[in-house]
Amino acid sequence: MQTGKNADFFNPQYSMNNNLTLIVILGITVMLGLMLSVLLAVFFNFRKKRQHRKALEFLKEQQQNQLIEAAIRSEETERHRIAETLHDEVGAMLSSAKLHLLGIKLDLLDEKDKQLHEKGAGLLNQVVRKIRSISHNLHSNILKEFGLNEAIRHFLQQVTGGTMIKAETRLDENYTDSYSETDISLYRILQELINNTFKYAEATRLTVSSTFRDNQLSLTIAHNGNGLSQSDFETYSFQKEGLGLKNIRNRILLLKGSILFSKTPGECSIQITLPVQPKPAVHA
Amino acid sequence: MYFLYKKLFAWAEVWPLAVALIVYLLYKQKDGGIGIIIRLLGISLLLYAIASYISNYTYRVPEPFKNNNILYNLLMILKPLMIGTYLLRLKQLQQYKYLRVVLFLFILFTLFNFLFLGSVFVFSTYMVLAESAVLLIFTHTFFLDAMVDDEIPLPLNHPAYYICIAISILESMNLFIYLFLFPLFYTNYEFAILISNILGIAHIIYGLTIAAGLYANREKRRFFQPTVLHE
Repeated sequence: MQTGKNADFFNPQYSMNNNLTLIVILGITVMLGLMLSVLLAVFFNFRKKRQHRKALEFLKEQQQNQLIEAAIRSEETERHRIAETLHDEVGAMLSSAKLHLLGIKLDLLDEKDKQLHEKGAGLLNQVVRKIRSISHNLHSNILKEFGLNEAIRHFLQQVTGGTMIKAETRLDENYTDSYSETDISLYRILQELINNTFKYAEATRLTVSSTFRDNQLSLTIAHNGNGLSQSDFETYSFQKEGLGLKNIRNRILLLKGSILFSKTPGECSIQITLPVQPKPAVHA
Repeated sequence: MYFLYKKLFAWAEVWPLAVALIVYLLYKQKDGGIGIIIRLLGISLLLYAIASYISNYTYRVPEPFKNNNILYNLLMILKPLMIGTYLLRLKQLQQYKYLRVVLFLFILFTLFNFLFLGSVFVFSTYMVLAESAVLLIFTHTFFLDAMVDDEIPLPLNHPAYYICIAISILESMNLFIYLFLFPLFYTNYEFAILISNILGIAHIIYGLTIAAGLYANREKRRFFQPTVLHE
């Protein structure tokens, strides 16, 4: 006789039911547990692999940046060395030659020799000026002393002086970061781009403008020549011959900036945007 | 609300597959190899729909067609064969030769089972066991390979992950539920009902996970593509 619920335990049918129910519950739980463990293992494994890959990519990028930095630094050092040699040695020798030439007494020369002397002195003057100009371009003295804006103005004056090219600057005077690695790289990029603009794009009008806002420096070169489009830049900068554009790409990459070429009929522009970290305040 | 809940569970084998197929009809797929899964979804939808109709409206079905076991048996054969073929076509699983042997043994076992052990008109628990075992071997090999490989062999939005997750969840529950479902109906009816509802949940997870896989693998919309206005 069954007197209560507990008495069911003594019923063999109840016990079998219970066992079957238990097996099913246990079976489902174990199988689901195993399945979830496998899925979790796969998930954590993938996460680990992804982290590992990210770390590898970061190291690769760091190594690449170090290589670019070393190449740019050695290029800068070499520029300085050539500039100093040109200025101190070649320039001094040319100045000495000029002095010697000026020391010749013109009274003793006939008309033809006078003309030759005058021509020689003129050419020598031009060479001295050219050497000085090359030396200043290679060296970043003005950049060092007066900052990026002044260096850009001076460079433009040098390259457009005595030509029909109209150059204009609209530079943001709020940018006063003097002589940082960013400035040197930016200056070199500008030199290369402006030289290319005159050399290949045959521009007759050029404007360099800049804006500095929220630690972002944006520099734009606008001209009326036949400039490059973004896809042209991508193509040429990956070609073996395009050393100048390759250098620009490397410098931009190193500075974590961006460069955008745009081309419309009659107007081309190149916009460079760089993050500029504010210099820490110097305490006396 | 209770009516809706009842209907959802009564048709749990059908509507999640319909959702997956709707996703397929809405979005063009990236991967060409997904075709066999789509065919399986289509066949499953049709067979499950007929089987569910027979079990839900038995009184409306003429006497000779009241047995839906043949449909379940057919699905138990087709599922491992089609999913196995899909996974074997993946480059990463082609190196595991034993998978082909497993598939071949499954075919032999199916023939042996229906020729000597039982009729196709009777629900075969041996086939449940064989189906689950084959599918779990395939999906676990897939996951094991994904873990062993130094690289992540397939992009994480590849439908194979979703299909393997769906199959392994369904089969790991299917195995124990179907093995004991019929004895339970005689011994503990209420629990058997509960278990069949859990099976319904497994089917819902299966269909919706495959639908998510197809959505993740979408290339573009087939209809109502947004137009891009150019100035």
